[in-house]
Amino acid sequence: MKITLNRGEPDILIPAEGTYPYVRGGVSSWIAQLIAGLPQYTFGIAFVGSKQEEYPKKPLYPFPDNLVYIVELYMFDEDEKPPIKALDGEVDTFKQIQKLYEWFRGNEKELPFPEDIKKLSFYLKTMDESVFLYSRESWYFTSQKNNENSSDTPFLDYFWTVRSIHLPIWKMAKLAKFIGDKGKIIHSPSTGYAGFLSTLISYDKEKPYLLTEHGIYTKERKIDIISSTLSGYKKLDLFRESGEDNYIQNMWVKFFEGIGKMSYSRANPILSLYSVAKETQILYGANKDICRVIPNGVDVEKLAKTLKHRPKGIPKVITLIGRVVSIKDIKTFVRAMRITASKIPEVEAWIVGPDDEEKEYAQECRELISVLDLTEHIKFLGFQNIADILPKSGLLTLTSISEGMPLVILEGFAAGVPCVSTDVGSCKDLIYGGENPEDKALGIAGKVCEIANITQLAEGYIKFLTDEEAWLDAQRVAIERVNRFYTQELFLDTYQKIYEDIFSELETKWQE
Amino acid sequence: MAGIGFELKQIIKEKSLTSVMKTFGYSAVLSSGPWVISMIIILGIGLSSVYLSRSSVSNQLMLQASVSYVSALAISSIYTGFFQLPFTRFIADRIYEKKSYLILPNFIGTLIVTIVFGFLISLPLSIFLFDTQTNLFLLLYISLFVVLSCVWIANILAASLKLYKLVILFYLLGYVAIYISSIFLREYEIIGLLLSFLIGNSLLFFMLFLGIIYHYPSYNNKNKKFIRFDMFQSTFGKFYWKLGWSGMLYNIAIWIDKAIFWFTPIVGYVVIDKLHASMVYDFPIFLAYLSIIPGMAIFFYRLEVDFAMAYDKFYRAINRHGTQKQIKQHKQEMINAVKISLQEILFVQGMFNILLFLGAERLFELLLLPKLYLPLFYVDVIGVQLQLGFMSILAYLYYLDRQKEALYYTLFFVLLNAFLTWISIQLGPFFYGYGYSITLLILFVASIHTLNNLLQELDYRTFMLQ
Repeated sequence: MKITLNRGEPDILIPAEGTYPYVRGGVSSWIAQLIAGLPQYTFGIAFVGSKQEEYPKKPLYPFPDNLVYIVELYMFDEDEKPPIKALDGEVDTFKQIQKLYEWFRGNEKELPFPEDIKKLSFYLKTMDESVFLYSRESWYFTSQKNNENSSDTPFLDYFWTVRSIHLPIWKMAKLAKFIGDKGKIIHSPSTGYAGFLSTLISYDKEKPYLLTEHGIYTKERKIDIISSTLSGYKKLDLFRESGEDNYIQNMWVKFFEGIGKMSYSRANPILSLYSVAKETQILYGANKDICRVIPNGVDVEKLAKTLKHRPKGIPKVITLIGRVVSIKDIKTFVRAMRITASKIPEVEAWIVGPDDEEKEYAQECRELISVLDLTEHIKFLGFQNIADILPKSGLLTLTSISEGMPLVILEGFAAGVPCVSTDVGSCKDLIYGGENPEDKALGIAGKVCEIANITQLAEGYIKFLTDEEAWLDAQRVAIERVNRFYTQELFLDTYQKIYEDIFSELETKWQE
Repeated sequence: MAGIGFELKQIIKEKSLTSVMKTFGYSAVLSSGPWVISMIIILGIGLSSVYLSRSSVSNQLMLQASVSYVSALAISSIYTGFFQLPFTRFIADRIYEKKSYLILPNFIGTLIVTIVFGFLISLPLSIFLFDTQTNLFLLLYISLFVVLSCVWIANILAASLKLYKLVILFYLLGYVAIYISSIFLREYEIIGLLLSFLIGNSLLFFMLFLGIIYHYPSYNNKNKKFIRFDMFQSTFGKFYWKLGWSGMLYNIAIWIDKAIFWFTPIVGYVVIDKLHASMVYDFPIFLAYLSIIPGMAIFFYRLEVDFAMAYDKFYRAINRHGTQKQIKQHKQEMINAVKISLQEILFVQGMFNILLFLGAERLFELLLLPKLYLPLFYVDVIGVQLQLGFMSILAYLYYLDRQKEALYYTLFFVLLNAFLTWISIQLGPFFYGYGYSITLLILFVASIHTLNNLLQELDYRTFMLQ
C-alpha cells in the first residue's frame, strides 16, 4: 500500500481495479470524465493492480485539482507474508466460512448476508491471513471441501486455486482498514475485488456504496477464466474427463459470482450503462428496485467541431478504435476486411490503439494481415487523438466479443461517423436506439452484426461505404441520437443529482 | 473492462523434497555404519591380543595403544561430526542442481579445512593428554587424529555413492593392514602399534579417496578450480548450522557415558597419562555394540526399499497432480513403512538379544571374561537395541528435513545420557549401564511420538507451511 497523492480529504472514493489512472479504456475515461466534470466534489482513487511492473511508471491521465487522494495496492507483488508457523485455528471460524459458502450458492435473495462476515475484524482478527494460510483447521476445511466436491481434481491444482482465489481477500481487508476513513461515499466502477473492497468499507464504516457497473464483471471474468490455461499440466485430451478442468474454472467463476453478490447486496443504487447490463445484474442477484441505467455521455460540442474538417463524400476508411487484444477480436475485423477490399479496392482500415498489451496476439494479427494480403489496406496507427482520426473516417467499427458501453461509438456519432458493430454490450441500443421509443424512432445509425460473423460485417462496410444515401441517413441519426440522449451534460447532471441525494441523506442522518 | 483477474502458481518448492533428501537421508544413517565396524575391530584386536600373547606386559601395551586409538577415534568423530551432515547435505543439493562437477573440488576443500583444524585441535590435545610420551608418539597421535578425521569425511561421501560393499571391503582391508603391520611392528611396542593404526587408516583413506575421485567428474567447463570452499563460503546457500550441531552432539552423546565412567575415580583408572579406561563399563558395552549388526542391516533394507519408495510416491503424487485420495494413501504407506521398520528392528533385534542372553554365559566363558559383567552386558544389549531404534528415527527426521527436531533430540541425548549415567554411578554397581539404557528408552519413545506427529501432518506441512 502506497499513497501517491495526498492533498486533501476526498468526498467520494473510487476503488479502481486495474483501470484509472494507469490503464486506458472505457472505465478510465469514465472516471476521468466524472472527476473533471464535477469539480464541486473532491475525489480519491484506490488503485488495485496485479503487479507494479505491469503498469506504466507515470499515470496516463493528468490529475484535475479535485482529485486529492490516490492510494495504490498491488495484489500479486511479493510482499511479506506473515511468518510461517503451524497454527491450530478455530473450528467456529470455519463454520462461518461454511455459512458464507452457502450464501454464495444460495439462489434465494431473501437469505441475509451472514452478519459476522460483514465485519472487517473477521478478516483481520478472527480469520486473519495466517489462519487461512497456515492453520490446521484451514487445511482440514480445504481437504474436506475437496473431498466433498471434486475428489477427482488433482489436489495440487485445487489447493493452489483455493489459495490464489482467497489471498486477495486479505489484501482487500487490509486496504479497507487503511483507507476506511477516506471519502464519505464509495463509488465503485465494478464489482469484483474493487466491489468487495467497497462492500467491506461500506459495512465497516456505515458508508453509502454506489456501484456503476460498466461491463458485467462476473461475465468478463468468466471469459478470461475459460480462455486461460489454468494449469501448466494438461492431460492428453483423450484421457481427460470433461469435469476435471472445469471444476477448477468453476471455482473461479463461483468466487467472482460470490463476491459480486456481496456487492449487489450492499450497493445502493446499482447503476449500469445500458438495459441489457441492468437485466444481467438482476439475474446475478441485484435488487431490481434499486437498479438503474445511466448511459455514458460524450463531449458532443468538441467533437461536433470536427464535422467542419470532413472532406466531401465518404472517406473509404474504416476505423477501429480499441486496444489490439483478443477480446476486441481484431482478427475478425481483418477477415471482414478481406471481403471488403475485394469489393472496394481503395478501402483502408485503421486500427487505432495500443498493441503492446497482448504482444503475441498483435503479432498473430499482423501475420494474418500478411497472409490475407492486406498489408496495403490495414494500418496500425497506435495511440492517436480521435479528433484527428474521426473526420478522416468513413465508418467506425467494433468487432469485440464483449463490450460494456463503448464510448468510441458515441464519440464517432458526435463527429458524424456511423458505426458497424457486433452485437455486444450496448451497441444495439446505440446504433438501433434504446428502450425509449423516441430514441428508436430516430432510425438506424449503422449496422449491428452477429459476433464473429465476417460476412455480415463486410456487407455492412460495403453498404455504407458505397451507398451514399444510406450513409448520410445514418450520419444524421447518429448526430441526433448522441445529442439528445448521450451528452456529457446529461451524464454529469444525473450523477450530480445522485451524489446530492446521497449527501443530503447523509446529512439528515447526521442531524438525527 | 477493468479488472486484474487472477494469478496462478502451483509449484511446490520441489527442492525441499524428493531427491535431495533421498541422497542425504541415506548417508546420514550410513555414516554410523563404519563407526560400528571400527568398534568391532577394536574389540577384535583387544581380544585377539588376549589370546595371542599371554604376557601381561604386552597386554598392558595393547590396552594403552587401544585406549589412545579409541580417544583419537572418539574425538575426531566428534570434531568432524560438525562437518559430516552439512557436507552430505551440500553434496545432495549440488547433485539435485545437476552440478556434480562441484563435488570433487569441494571434497578436497573440505578435506583441507578438516586437516587444518584437525591439526590445530590435535596438537594441543596430544600435548595435554600425553605429558610423559615421546615426541614421536605425539607425532603419530596427531597424524592418526588427522587421518581419522579425513576418513570420516571421505566415508560419508563414499556412502552417498552407495558403494556399500566396496566401502565395507575397504574397511576390512584397512583393518587387516592394521593387524598385519601390528605383528611386524610388535617389537617397537606402543609406537609400533600406533604406527600400524596409522598405516591401516591411511590405506583406508586412500582407498576411499581414490574411489571418490574415480566416481565423480573432475573436469568441467564451468569449473576450472581444483579446490573449492563453497560450503564454508555459503556460495550456494547458507551453511547448515543445525545439521552441524546435531551431528556433533550425536557423537558427543554416544561417548559421554563412557567418558564419565572413565573419569570417575571408583570405576575408571589411568591407562596412559591422562587417558583413562573403565574395566567394568567398557568391555560389556563394546561387546554389546556388536549385537547391533542384524538390526542395522534390517533398517537399511527397510529404509531403502519401503520408505524411500513410499516417500517418492508421496511427493510424486503431489507434484504430478495426484488426487487427495492418492496423496493420503501414499502418506499412509510411508507411515506403514516406518512402522514396519521399527517393528522389525525391535522384533529381529529382540530375537537376537534373547539368543545372546541364553548364550551369554558360554560366550563369556569362551572369551575368558569375568561373569561379573553379565548383568551389565544384558542391560547394555537392551540399550544398544534402543539406540538403534533412536538412530533410525533420527534418520527419518533427517530424511524429512526436520533439522530442528533432530537438533533438539541430539542435545537432549547428550544431557540425559550424562545426567543419568552420573546418577547410575552414584546408585552403585548394580545400576551401571542403566543410565545409558534408560536415556535411550526415553529418547526412543519420545522421538517415536514426534515422528508420528510429523508424519501424520506431513501433507498439511507440505502444503500449508512451505
